[in-house]
Amino acid sequence: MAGHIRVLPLDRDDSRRYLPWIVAVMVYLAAMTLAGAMATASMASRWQTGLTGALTVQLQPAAETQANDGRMEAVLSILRADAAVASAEPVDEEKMLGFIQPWLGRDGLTLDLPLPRLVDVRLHDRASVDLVDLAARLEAAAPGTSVDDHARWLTGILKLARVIRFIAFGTVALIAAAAITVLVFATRAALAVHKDGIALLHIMGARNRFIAREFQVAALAQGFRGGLIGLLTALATLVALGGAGLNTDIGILPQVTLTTLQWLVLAALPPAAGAVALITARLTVLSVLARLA
Amino acid sequence: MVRFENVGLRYGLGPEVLRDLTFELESGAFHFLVGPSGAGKSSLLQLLYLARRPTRGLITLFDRAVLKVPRRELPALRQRIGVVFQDFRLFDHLSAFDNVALPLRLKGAKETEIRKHVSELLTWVELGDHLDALPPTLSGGQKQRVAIARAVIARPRLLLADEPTGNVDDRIAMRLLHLFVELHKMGTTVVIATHNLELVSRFRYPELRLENGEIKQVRASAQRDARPGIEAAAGRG
Ligand SMILES: Nc1ncnc2c1ncn2[C@@H]1O[C@H](COP(=O)(O)OP(=O)(O)OP(=O)(O)O)[C@@H](O)[C@H]1O
Ligand SMILES: [Mg+2]
Repeated sequence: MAGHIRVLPLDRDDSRRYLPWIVAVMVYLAAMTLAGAMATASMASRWQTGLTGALTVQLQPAAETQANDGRMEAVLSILRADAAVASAEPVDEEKMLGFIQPWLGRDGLTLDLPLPRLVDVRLHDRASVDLVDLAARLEAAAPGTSVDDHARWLTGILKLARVIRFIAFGTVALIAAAAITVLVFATRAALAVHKDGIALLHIMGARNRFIAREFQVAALAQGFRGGLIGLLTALATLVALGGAGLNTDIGILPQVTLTTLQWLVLAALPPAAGAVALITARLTVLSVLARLA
Repeated sequence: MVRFENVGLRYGLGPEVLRDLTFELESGAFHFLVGPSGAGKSSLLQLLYLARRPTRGLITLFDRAVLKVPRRELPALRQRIGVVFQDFRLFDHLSAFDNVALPLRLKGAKETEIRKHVSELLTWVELGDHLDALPPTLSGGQKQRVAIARAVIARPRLLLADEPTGNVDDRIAMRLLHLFVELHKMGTTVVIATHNLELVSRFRYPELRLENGEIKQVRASAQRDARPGIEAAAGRG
């Protein structure tokens, strides 16, 4: 294919000139979808590693507010005595207020508002605790405590990440299907435009494979070029999104970033677009020519 | 080499343009195909270069019944046929060199061989200075020579030319016809469709005359061109 001298001027007709731009739009959409899905996936997995091996103990405010009623000390001493626990630290009140502020506003934050007090517990690697037993012991020592291992929340997040991934792959598949449809019609249009040249090639004894190669060479170049344009535009958009602050750490949200492997997936889009265009052109040409009398 | 048996051709629902053609061309023959305009000369050639199928009858080419040749074997058959079209049908964005090289490339010839043979032939038809010229920049006569070079480069077993001297003056017409004579001397079967009876009469080759869709085989009577090479060549036809 490298040494193939192109006989049909496939690059010069209108039916083919718009193709790279269509491919560019498709690849742009695919790149953005994939980037979104992959960012969600790595975010979810970072949450998972951040939250497994961690517990939060919540201490309900007592009815008659007393800043220090001894319950916190009781909870901490029970936790720190536990062999599975690596550390147990009360969450700083200022930090708590920082979390809540976006929802209540600064004005809602009076110091008389009874807030639950939290203890951030880190477990030793691969250590496990009997949550029911721990909760019972804590409740006995300090009434009004509850233990949360984030399992329900984490399951929800992971499920959401799976759904997002599923939707993303479905979207990319739809984009690919639309791209292939456009390529099929464009190839058929090009076959019609060049029917005289093709008839002449046939009379001269050209095999359908030779004619298909004409279209493949053009399709590969156009698909790749379009893919490159689409990817570069998508990268520019991602960089712009990062610059707009969506990537910065806002409170509890981990940073949205892609791994090297995920960048490679995006980088593979232009060659993939070229390959899809090539294969589509080949199959379309061969099937149309086979039906030709 | 070529045999027609009761061959008929009609376009769509129209009348038969070719009726009941039965004739045979021996291997190594040289024929002029003559007849009034609209007689069906181009249609007959199209049957011969497998661009059309007859609506009835049997065509045998290279000892094979054309209609029975599987489609995947047609390219090999067609590569043994050289065609000069009346309107040249060159690829306008390919250089003269690449146009002429195309039949060799279709056969999978080596690029070094292609370079040598194509340059040689184009030099021989006095286009050695125009190897890289695109057809639209060539004169009518130059295009005609490129078209003829393309038809003969791969040494076809059957050469078909439709009005190959249609657009050139007599002097060039004679030179081009001698090209076909040279090829014929190497064993190629040649059929040339032409209106130019004056030109035909200068050669001692048999005529196939098409009239009302029927064919008559006629021997050339006049022998104004009595050069020995042509005499000898005609003896085989
Ligand atoms: N594609 C076609 N569709 C319908 N009719 C056709 C077609 N091609 C040729 N014909 C008809 O077939 C007849 C023979 O045409 P053909 O071109 O074979 O004649 P010809 O002998 O080559 O004429 P000329 O000497 O003018 O080139 C004509 O009546 C023409 O109108
Ligand atoms: Mg004609």
